[in-house]
Amino acid sequence: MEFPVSMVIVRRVKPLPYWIVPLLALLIGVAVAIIILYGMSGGKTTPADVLYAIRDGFLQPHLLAMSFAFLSIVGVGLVVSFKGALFNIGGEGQIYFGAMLAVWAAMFAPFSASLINGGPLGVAALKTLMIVLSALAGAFWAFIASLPRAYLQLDEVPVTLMMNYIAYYIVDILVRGPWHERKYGYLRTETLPEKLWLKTISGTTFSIEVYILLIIVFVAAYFFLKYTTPGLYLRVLGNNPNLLRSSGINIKLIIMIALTISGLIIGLVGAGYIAGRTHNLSYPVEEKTANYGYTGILVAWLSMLELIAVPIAAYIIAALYNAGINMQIAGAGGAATVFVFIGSILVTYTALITISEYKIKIIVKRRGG
Amino acid sequence: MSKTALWAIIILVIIIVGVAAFYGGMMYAGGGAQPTAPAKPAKWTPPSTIKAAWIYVGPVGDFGWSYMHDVGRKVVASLFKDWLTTTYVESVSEDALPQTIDNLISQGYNVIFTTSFEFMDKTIEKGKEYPNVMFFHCSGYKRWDNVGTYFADLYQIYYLNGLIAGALTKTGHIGYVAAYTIPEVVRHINAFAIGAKEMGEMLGKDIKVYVLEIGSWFNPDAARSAAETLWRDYDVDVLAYTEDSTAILELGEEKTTGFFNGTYDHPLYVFSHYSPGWIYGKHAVVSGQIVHWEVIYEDILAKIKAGIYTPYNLKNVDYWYLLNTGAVEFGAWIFDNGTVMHINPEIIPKLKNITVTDKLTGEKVSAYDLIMRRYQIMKEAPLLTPLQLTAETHKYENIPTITYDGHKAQIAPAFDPFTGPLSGYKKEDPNKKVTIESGKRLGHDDLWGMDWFVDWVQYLGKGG
Repeated sequence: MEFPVSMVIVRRVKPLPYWIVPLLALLIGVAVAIIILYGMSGGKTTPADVLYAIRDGFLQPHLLAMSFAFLSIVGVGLVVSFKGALFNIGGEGQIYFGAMLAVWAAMFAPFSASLINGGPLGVAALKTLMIVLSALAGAFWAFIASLPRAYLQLDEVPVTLMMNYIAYYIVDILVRGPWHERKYGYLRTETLPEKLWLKTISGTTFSIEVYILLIIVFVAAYFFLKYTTPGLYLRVLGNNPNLLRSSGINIKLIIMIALTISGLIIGLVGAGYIAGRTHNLSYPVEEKTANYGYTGILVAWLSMLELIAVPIAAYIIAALYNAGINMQIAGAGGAATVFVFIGSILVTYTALITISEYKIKIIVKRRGG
Repeated sequence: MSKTALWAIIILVIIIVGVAAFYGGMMYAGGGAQPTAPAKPAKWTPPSTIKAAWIYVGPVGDFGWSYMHDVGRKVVASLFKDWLTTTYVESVSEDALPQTIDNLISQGYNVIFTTSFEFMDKTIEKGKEYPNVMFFHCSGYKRWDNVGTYFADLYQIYYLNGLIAGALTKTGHIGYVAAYTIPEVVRHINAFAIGAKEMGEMLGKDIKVYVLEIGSWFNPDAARSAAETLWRDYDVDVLAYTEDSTAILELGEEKTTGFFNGTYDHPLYVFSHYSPGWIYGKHAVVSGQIVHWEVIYEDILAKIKAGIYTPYNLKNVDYWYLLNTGAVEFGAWIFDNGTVMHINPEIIPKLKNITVTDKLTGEKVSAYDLIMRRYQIMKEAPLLTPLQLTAETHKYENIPTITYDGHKAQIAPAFDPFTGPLSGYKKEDPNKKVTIESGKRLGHDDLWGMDWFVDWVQYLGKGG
């Protein structure tokens, strides 16, 4: 028996301009969130409550400054690999592997104590070392994941994802074991020496050091993608891998370079997160994590893989999280409101991206026709 | 010169400039942002309206830790509604705490309660940043001029629960599902084990307490499967836990009713944790621990309103409230008229039929009477309460009596479970033995840093 109705999906010849989809996703997503929150609260949370919370969420850049910067860095790192259709889901692992080496350099390395007590120059050297090691660790972690992709054609999504858990558990072992604080026996490291903290302007989360890193990363990624040969090959790899293969270019090398650079950038956030946010590692890290590695994926998608749009997407996501906190303070909903926001936007986005690239036609067949 | 080389040079220059700027920025930031000591005002006037905010680590619907803090919040919000407005933020991670605090303060909140141990360091940091806001951190040990600490401790309740467990167990195998084995939980496990052993030994049972750690404060699935493992593989028939859901109570009810109708060969009696959980297992929930955070919140907020607590004098404010204060209670349910069900009425006859010797008096009494006697002893200690409010006076808390002119005054309760002789082993290194000599009573600091298990506790590691 045949169904009288069938659906045909056709790729659009001219896709819609790239900025339309994220913008529409935001507007429709917020509208959907308003309806859900109104229903969930039995009419107590009015659309006005939600809109005020969102407005306040966006208008508090002094509170968003640091999460915005971290999300932007992760977003840039992910765009570098996503451009080549290499889906690095391993940001969390790269961040934590970096954080681990940063903590090691700051507190457990043979040189830690002498550098901290070595005056401003020693402290500056140690801070720089933390950042460099963190980036290298992220690069190393992504490089490992790139090997099975390059040589065995194993899908990088599960590999990078699993590498997250390996990184979490390695850090867990250290924090439970040799690194945990001895005074009270809680399963966390001692607090990072205050001299190594990223300085923020009082009352804000703005740190000049993080922003310098962000600018360096942004400019370097821009030049890498736009003006270097591997950057060019990477973009071709995303669109037409066969072209690369037929012109005899070493695809394996491109894959490894792309994932490694992606990890190098994301790894920076590890040191930033430790020195700027948590000041310690606390067991179990898989529950304590701020999930920048995963939220960054959302940022990268919302940016439509346009580098210039990454900070915009990062600001939107950071502001929506902030709006969720505002809504709770106003008594207009629990912790789930944040997920309602993010979830509504993501679902709308996924739906819209399909519509923007494909036409969906429903064909009703006439009987006996 | 090739184009690639040119770009390589440009990138290199950018990096070098960036690094230089980085150092420049660091010097600037390091030199500029020195925290200055707050100038003490000559006279502190308490705000006419107090805006208090609670920050919870879990969801308020967890029916455990965060839920009971929120009950405390609601009680004081209604009581002091003339001058107090409250709000809360739930499921806040340590990482999101600073931003949440900034957000609250920017909306005018002037008293902030942070209710998770892991919020400790960041509460202190924020306290230094906002010297005119009062902070109270639950369960920590670091304080500042404007950051006080508070905690309601359950170890005496766990001991009383342990007495019941020792009386009820047939296999002698008792279980404990721990969220983490931090000092607080280790103290509770030991108190529970000490009670179980005291009762079990009098009845000729060989008591062993098996501990599984699940690595989460709120994880119903892990808690349930850890409890199931202990019940199935270790013949555990009585179990206590630290986890913020009701999953274990429901499992206990399933196994215990299954035992009553012959499906299983042993039951699983359980003790509800933090909130009254009897309705989740009317046959299996024997007793439990209940907390009344409102006892502490009422005291703190009343003293802020009266101008006693100010942002300049909280450095020694450290509540450590036990059974005598009413901040914790021994029981599984609170009836509508306010009376507490200390022990499930289905269990009471069993306990009344068991005869034991009260080691304090040498009398022969029923197990039920022994438990209620110990409860009364620990419940009534009027001279203890004032000592439990400040960091300065904790050191007197383990003094049972003082004498003056040949008379005695009772300070701490006449009985405390953590009294020697006790022997155990270090959690980190089981080969290292710990011995508490006979008659020595552990004090506040010993209990707060407890990192050893009594000998009959067997730590099975992480599972669930």
